[in-house]
Amino acid sequence: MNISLFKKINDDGLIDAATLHNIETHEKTAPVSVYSDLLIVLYAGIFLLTTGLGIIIYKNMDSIGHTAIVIALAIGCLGCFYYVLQKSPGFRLTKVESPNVLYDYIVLLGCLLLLILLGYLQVQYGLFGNRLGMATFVPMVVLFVTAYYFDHIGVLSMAITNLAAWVGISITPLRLLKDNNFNSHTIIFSGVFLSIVLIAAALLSEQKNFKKHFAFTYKNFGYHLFFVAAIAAMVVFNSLYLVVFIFLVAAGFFLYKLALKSHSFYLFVITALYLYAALSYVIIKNLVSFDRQGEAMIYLILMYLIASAIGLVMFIMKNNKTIKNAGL
Amino acid sequence: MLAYSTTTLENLAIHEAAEEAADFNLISSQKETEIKAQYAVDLYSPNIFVRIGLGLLTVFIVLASVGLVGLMTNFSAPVFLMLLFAAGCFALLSYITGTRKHFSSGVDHVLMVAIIIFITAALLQMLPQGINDDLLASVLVAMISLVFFLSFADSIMAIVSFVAMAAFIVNFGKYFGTSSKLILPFIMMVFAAGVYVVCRRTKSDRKNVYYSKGLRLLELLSVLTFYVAGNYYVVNKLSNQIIPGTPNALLPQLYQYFLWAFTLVVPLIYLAAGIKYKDVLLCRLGILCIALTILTYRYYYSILSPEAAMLLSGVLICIAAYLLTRFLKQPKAGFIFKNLNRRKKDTANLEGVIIAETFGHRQTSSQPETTFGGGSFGGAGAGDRY
Repeated sequence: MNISLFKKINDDGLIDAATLHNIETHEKTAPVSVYSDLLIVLYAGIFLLTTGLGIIIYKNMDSIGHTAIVIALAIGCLGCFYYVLQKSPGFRLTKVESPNVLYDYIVLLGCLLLLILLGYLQVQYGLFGNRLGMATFVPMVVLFVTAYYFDHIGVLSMAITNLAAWVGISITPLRLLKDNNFNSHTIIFSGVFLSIVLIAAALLSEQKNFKKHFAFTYKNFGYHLFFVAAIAAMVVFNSLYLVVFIFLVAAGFFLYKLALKSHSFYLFVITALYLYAALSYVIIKNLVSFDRQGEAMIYLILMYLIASAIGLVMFIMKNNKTIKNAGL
Repeated sequence: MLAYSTTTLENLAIHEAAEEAADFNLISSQKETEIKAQYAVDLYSPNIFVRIGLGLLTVFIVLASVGLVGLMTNFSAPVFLMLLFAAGCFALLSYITGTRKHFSSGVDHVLMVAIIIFITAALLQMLPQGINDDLLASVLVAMISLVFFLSFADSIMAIVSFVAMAAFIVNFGKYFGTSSKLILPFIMMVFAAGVYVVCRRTKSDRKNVYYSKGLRLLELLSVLTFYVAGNYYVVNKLSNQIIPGTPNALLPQLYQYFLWAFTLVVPLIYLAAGIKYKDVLLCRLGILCIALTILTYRYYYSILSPEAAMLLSGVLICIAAYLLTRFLKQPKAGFIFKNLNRRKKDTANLEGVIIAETFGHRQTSSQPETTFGGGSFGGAGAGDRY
């Protein structure tokens, strides 16, 4: 904090000398918090630990001995879950504060070890045989139960990722476009379906006050998945694109209202950008089919892009002022 | 030469200071509101996501405009066109910062970058062949962005300017061939140290309160650059790439010892200084540099396999972090492990997204024969389960 600024405030008579003195003392003597720093370092440590472990097991499957690996992983995993079960205040519908700092990390570590263990058992022993759906279904259920019981948003995100994998989609934001083939009709349908399930889960959890603070995580995955799948549907189902577009705009309007209601700048901006992309696709597609060869068409498209982007900038700025006290 | 009224910018700083004081419960929320009402700020500085969205759209608008005007003129006079666009962007920048009061809105950042690119590209086009393009470009970028930093108090421009100046030094070194290899790291260090001293001197002055964010960034950047300039790997490997045509001669033995000592000791000094002066950011930089030093060492003397090193370091980091959380329960040396922020901003959601991204698809890698998209869905008949 800049003390000279507070001196100015003091000169202007808005804070008294005692407050100024307090602030000065605070600036000089108050301990600096390294709270978030150490938590991030813990995450980094767990990330390195589990990644390294996963690779070591994968590379040395034959030399270490299967039983040894399974036993070691099982002990680690059970140890983690035993510890958190001992400490857990039990399931509650509302947000549960963690009993201590390590708690959340042990939950996460236990889940990651469990995933490595189940993956290993499937590869080595064919735990779920050929029913590969089961191999993602079982971890998914375990993750969901863990997330709800121990109140862990990170594990919830992993559970949703697993749910999507079970349906056949890579869902995390960076992989959404990279790993999925949106030319496939099944992926589009399951994508739209799953996104509706996720948004519904978000709404229900808010309405029924059932782990209300989980809602954003569902929304985040649901929004991205819905828009990407719906825009892909417009491209793939070429003859029906207008029907899909109307559906997309209707759903998009609902999601836009929801974003404003959630006080979320993030959801608001992505909704605006996705809807803009969909609209631009329809308009450019029509402009192109209107005049296939002419140069005029390119001019029109560029003019449209400039004008519409300026319009969207103004729209975002206008709406931005209406969202108050926003979080993520 | 500031584009904004100094009162407004100072009031903005007062807002931030008041928020921080309220976070630490030094003033009441009511007082905070009172202070904010007293020192009015009419600037438009939106939330980070809105900023990114507006920035993206501005990029889009500039590119489409270039395409449109370029097509109309058949790209016949590129230099004129680029200067025209630079002027256009500048007019727009003056309008949105002056009339519309944008300050760090995303639009202004993009316009400044666009102006720099247009002017630099135009001048490089105008000048005859044979002139050192890189050198000229880095000087131009450094100067324009410095002017922008000073006149718009834009922290991003401060970073751009610093990087361009560093690039200028590297480009300048190219002229001197092999001998510059030995001297270049020291010139870079002197440059970084100089920037650091200037920032420290000017930061504390209340007249410069609107530059304080940019100056703070420059300070950290110069600290990092100072380390990187003397890092063994950077000096050995990158200098061979940056300065082509020189033989891959081994550096003198003594010089190598010096570099290793530098690489090992400087991060520790940073960390120690950070602890001594209670500067968390400096501590973070120190730890980052220690990590870089370990990676540098591993590059030359590989002891463990990468995965064993990951596992081991992960275990050690977890233990060290845990012990620190215990150790700092009570304040020690001015640090404490406690969430002091009264109105803690809820980061749990962001944490969730990051965990999903980093850990989320872990299970897929350990099941090689499960093919997603095809196998697990259609083949397993999982779809019927609904």
